[in-house]
Amino acid sequence: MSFTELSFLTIFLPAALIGSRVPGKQVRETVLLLVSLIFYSLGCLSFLPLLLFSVAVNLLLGRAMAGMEKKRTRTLLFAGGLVFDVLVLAFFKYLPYLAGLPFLSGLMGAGDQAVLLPLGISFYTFKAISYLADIYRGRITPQGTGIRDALYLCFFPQIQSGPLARYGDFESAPSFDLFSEGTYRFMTGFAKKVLLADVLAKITGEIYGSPVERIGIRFAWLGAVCYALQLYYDFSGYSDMAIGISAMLGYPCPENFRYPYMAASFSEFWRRWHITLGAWFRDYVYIPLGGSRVKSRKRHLLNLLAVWLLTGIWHGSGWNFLIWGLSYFLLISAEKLLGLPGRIKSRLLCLLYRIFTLVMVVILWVPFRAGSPSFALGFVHRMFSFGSLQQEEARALFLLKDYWVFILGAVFFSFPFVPLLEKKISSRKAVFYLFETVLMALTAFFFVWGLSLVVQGAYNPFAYANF
Amino acid sequence: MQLNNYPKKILALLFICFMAVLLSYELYRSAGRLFKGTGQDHQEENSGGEEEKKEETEEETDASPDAAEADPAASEEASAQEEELSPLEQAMLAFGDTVQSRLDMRGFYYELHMFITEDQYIVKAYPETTTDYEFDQVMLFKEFLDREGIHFAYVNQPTKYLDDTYMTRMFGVYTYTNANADRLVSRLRGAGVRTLDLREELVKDGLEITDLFYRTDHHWTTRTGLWASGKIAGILNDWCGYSIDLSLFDEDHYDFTTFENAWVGEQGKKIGASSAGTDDYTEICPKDKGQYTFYGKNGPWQEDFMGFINESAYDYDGPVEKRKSLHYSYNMLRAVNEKVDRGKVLIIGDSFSHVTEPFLSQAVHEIDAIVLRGKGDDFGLRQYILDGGYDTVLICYAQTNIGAHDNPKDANAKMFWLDR
Repeated sequence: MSFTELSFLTIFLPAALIGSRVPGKQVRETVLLLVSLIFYSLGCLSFLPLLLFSVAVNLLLGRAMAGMEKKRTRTLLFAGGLVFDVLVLAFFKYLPYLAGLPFLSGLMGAGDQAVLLPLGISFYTFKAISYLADIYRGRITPQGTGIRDALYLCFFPQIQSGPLARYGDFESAPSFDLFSEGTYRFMTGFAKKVLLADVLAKITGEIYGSPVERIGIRFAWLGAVCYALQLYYDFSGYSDMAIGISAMLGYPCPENFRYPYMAASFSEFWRRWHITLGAWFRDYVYIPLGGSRVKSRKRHLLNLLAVWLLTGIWHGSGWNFLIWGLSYFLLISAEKLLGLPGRIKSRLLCLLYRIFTLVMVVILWVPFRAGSPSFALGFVHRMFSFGSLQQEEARALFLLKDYWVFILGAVFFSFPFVPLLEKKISSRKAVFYLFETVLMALTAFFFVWGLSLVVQGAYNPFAYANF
Repeated sequence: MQLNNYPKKILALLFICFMAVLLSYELYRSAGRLFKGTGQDHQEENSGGEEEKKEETEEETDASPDAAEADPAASEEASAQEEELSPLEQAMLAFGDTVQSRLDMRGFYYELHMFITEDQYIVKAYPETTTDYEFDQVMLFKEFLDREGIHFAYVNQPTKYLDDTYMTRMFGVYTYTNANADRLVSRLRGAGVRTLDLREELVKDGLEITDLFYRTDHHWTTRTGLWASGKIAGILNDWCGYSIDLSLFDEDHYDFTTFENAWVGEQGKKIGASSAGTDDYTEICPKDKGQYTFYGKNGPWQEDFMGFINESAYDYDGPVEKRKSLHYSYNMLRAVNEKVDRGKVLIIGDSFSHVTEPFLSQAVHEIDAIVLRGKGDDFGLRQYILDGGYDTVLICYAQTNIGAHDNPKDANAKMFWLDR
């Protein structure tokens, strides 16, 4: 079940909000846990036992570790939990890909059977690892009956696509301020996903669906830019909805995106994009390996390589994700070795470096969308092949003409105009309230428009992949 | 000091009210289903009670190679679902339609391969095909008919534009429907198959293609159907030895009743009425209505030409965008014309035949029309022809059927399955 489905909006969410208002913290947590399990069942019933088993194993190990004085035993328990979590993730996420490789398929006897990917496995597994690691390090202590811990691992707003919240921050603090902030975030995220991401997907679907030899330079850049925007709004929109729902239920949630296309460097980009994932790899891979505080530069680079290899394969099991991760390793390593962009004193060069970063980020998203490494290479080649194809030029112009409102809107809202303006006028009461009123009215308008597209998609049996 | 964000809180309160309304309506609707039964059951009861002359014709929508559409079951399901829409959902749909049309998003339906021209004429793109399958099937079929001494002709019915580059100029997309039709017609003629290409006829007669089709539907109009019937009657004379008085198809011999802005065609329904607009509909009846014996599911009955027309389709007071397709108010029926003593014709047709077969029935003793996509895999076409004793078989296909076979999931994939 997706947050943009009608059944979620009309039945599940209202019911969850009502359930979250029961008196008593423990009762509330129990109700939310049940609601989360129902949510999971509706999306992925066949893998509910796996989720429950994973939660049970991690909870038991966590509690065993917390009560264990002996460090060696605690380490063994932690290692056991880590191995369990990693094996479960690897089995479901990477085994189908490995089984599909020609030189392995015979050995593994994969045949035509594909192992389906359990809903949210990447996210709840990483949450479980952080839960065990934080207990092992003594940063957190599991308390109560374990309902809160189970809720943390299964929390339905976050289970599908994050954010990767930490157990230590998972504390109920309901208030109407938080609820209203959550409402705004949810509606904003909904509009981002439905009105921007899903509409831009029409453009990228067409462009990336074309044979690469029929893609001219304009078509290629339009596709690359639209995909970069689509991915941002899809993911950040979903994160906004997750943060919004969490807040409405009384649980503040960490931010996951902070205008990443404003980044001045690749390192900064990854401190703005999927923030909680970056923080997870930093805290549970990079720093435990020594991070940058190691004796040799070679070791530092190896630590970075480990992080980026894992980041790449976390995103997907194909070669394109591995190449993508390695590309960022090279770029970020180069930045660290050369001291960029800190060493650049000229404002013009800083700006040029910022543009270079943005262009490279856009190019590096191409393998994400491309169906194969050869298509990705061909597509990127087309982005720099001057001399356009006439038909594609006509089509690119038509797409721009048809979707200019959405493309312009997507570009505009990728800049932090709204928060900057809010900050600037926050001391001027009348202006602030006027601005906020207009902003809320626009939010409501875009939410209703997005909802109309969802209704249109739900009741149009002739539409494909429609919203 | 941070200001209290009252607008945000008001938005939150409005959101709560909105959620409450949505939840309440869903509970009400669920309770209604539980205690009263669905509207769909009620609809099925009505369908069972309708008159015999409402033939079980399959609704053919676009011959899209992507084919989630064109399934009568889906079409009926869509209608039933539309009836269940809450006022709020209807308002949502209208709102979305309006915004999209204000933004002039004419290519918004690319995934449906549909585009809207500046004067709200909906067109569709079609992929290229070799026509090998279609050609081979027609040739095998012709061989059978030749062996049985049955006259045969192929009629190519046009689509909404005559020039494929039109789509490229307007929308930057490639379409191949006319190229496909050119290829097949040329191959058939080269192999000795008598082929009438109505595109050539309309050019000869100086007709404008955009005047021949509905703006919001892929079908041709009733007037075009009458014109096409005259052309088909012409080839019955020229190639099949008939002696039909072609003046029978002159418009002077007919009464025209036009209903303005009466309906939204199937293409228009897919994209929403605000974007698509509406179409007029014209009922055409001959002044001399003749006398027929019709054959339906429940047996034969006698009636004049009006037996072909389901006039109850005109009794409708609801929203225009929800009205069922008026194109299907003409039925394809097996009919014996008591006033004509010769000619027994079978039309292997498609939904375009709804507005040709009735008019042609005036010129021959007996006429029948079948649509192959609605027949099961065990349907024996050849035996059907032999059992029927037809002296002439016509294949009358919209050219958008050419290439449907390339996608096995296309609802029209079986239209050229003639070798059975």
